[in-house]
Amino acid sequence: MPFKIVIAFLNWLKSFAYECQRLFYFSLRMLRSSVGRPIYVAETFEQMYLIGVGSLFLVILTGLSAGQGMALQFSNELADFGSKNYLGRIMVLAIVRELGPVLTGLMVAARVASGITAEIGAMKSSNQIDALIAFGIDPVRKLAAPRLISLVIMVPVLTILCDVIAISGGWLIAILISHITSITYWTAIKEKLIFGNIFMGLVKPIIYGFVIGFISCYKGFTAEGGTKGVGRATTESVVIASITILVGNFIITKTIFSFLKGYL
Amino acid sequence: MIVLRNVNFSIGGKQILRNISFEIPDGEARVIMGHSGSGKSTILRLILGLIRPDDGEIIVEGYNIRGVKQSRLSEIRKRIGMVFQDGALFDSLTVGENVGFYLLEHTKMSLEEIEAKVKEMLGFVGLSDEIIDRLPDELSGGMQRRVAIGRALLSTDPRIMLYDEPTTGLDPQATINVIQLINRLAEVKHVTSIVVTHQIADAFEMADKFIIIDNGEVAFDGDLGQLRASRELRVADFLGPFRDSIANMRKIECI
Repeated sequence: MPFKIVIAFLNWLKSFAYECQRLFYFSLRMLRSSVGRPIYVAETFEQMYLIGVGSLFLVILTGLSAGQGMALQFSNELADFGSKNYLGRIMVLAIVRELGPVLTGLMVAARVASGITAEIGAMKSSNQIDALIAFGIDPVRKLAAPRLISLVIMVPVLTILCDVIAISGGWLIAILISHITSITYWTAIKEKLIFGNIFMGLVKPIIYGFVIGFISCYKGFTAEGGTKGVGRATTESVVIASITILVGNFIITKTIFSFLKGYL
Repeated sequence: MIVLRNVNFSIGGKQILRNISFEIPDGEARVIMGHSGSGKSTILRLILGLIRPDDGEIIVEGYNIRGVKQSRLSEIRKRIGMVFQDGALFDSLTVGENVGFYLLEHTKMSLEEIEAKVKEMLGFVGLSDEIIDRLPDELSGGMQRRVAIGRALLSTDPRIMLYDEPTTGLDPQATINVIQLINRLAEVKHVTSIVVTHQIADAFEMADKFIIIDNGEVAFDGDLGQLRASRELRVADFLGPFRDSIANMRKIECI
């Protein structure tokens, strides 16, 4: 019995390694397609609109709720130590460095990654991808590259918006519930908006844009088994992208702490 | 000319095609028949270079598809028109954008010129240019299949046409329309045609020569007379009740 479990684990490990290898090569192909000609400008702008404008409401709502919730929690704790004036500083650390990029990444992964995988997967199952190849079009360049470029541009933009909304939500809590003056709150915010924090807050969403793009397109192009297979690929795409964002967040934070400690 | 010599193909250890060999001279039409899952569509995908065989030769327009470079393969594909199963129209594009897809992607023709060519092609495949702004979902199955043929034709004025199950799922009238169009193309444009189908009655209306694939192998390759005379068990099994009536079948005349 234990022998069978070991064999099953080794088989799983083998298929996992194989899948990672395929994802790696597909990602390289996507990167090459994103910089080479022809560049599908119209498709890229269309995707930027769909990803950016389409996720706007979700990101605003998430940012506002998260910012207000965090501010409420922190101000209560800080009040016990008589340090309510530090709320703005903690909000910058929590929102700009961590919550803003992660929440935006997760929201975009849930909304956009599923859409990309489903769309490309459906095109594959209805032979539209083969039709593109038959017409001399590289499907990765035509379908995947515009989505990747759009994600790498729009996830940071949405993250900045999420940060602004979350910090503004915190300000509402600060003045209405915690009775901190506006000037105290915003001065504390300004003090902590330094290079290191902004850098960390922007590097993360750029990486998340790549992660969501690579995983969602790869899952779409490799979807098999008709509509059921497309459904499975869509679920896997969101789950893998979300887990990668969460695990990646820790790794990126640790790496930046190691190299940019003096700037934080 | 299309030549397949000792072609083998497998996926994930499962043998799909075994030792497939046949020749189709320029300008001839050939119907490949067989049960669902027998490997018919795989042959078309091999000819188009969408998949590579394990071994054997696939010679299209003088080039062996198996060993050819990607750039050369793209050149060869420009001489091939492919009508995929269910049309495979791009569902986010209009009929006009679908038919003019190749011209939009690969040429610098103005939109007005492309629109004129699209309208001309729609007329050729027997459709009104009023549907030019409709989405594929808004068309019937027969109309979608004709749009797909128009798209393949407008691409590069192909010398070879490949049809994957062109009449499957269509009503009788739409089936006749599509068959007439396929026959008309073969006669007017002198294209080499390969039609894959499992609809036996339709097969005899589209060509005079047939290949029957059974379990990944060529069970029959010949004309109607040879088919009638064949004592091959796999042929009898595939034709079933049609075996007695094939004597009366003939190719539909194009209008």
